[in-house]
Amino acid sequence: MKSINRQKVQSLLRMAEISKPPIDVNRIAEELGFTVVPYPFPEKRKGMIHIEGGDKVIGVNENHPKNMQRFTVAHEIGHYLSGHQHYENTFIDDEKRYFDPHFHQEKEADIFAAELLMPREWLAKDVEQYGLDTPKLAEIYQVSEQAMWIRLTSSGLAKKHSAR
Amino acid sequence: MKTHAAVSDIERGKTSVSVEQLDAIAQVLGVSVNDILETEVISQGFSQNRDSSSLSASDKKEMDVTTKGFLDHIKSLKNEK
Repeated sequence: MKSINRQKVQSLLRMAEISKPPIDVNRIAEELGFTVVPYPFPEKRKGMIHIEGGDKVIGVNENHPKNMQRFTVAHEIGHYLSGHQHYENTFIDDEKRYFDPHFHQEKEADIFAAELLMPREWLAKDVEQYGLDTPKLAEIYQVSEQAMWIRLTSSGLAKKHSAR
Repeated sequence: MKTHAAVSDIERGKTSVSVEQLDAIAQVLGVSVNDILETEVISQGFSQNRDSSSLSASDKKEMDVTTKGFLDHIKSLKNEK
């Protein structure tokens, strides 16, 4: 799945002519025909995607931190490109979602979003240069330190770097 | 080696673990880093549930109202153009 995500992301970056971080995720959304609309959603709602006729809109919670908004837009693009069917986008903090058949789609979209915002190849080069300086890398990619930390470990880059 | 108190702080989110420590913890537990991160990602709320059938009635209502508000907002933006 990861290699497919990487291929998709590489295509998107070429399409949007993005060659260095931070990734302009709104530009990618626009290249895909979406309009990104900030909206004061309730706190627990991060955003939503709406496709009807020729209209393609990604709504994002304007009250959330910018880095979270970027992740939300990338997450919605992930749903769209994965052909997921359920567009309502609400964060529910309960344990029922562990048994939810749609939950794996959310994970897929999260994995895609991480690859889009922090492409592995680029990140690998930056880890060569900056080491595991998470705050610095988070600043370069305009993601939260937490997201960067997760990305470094889940991609294997942290382990690879530590083993040297 | 971390003390029980330090591990407890990590579990309660009072302190974070470095990437090197995470690798070490995974080795001690005999699991992969991904196994730990899967739990981590879930606990940090990155994932979102789109299945409205699992919502409570009040959450469902709130979702419907919010969705309608957003769609009305889109329409108004469209009309402005």
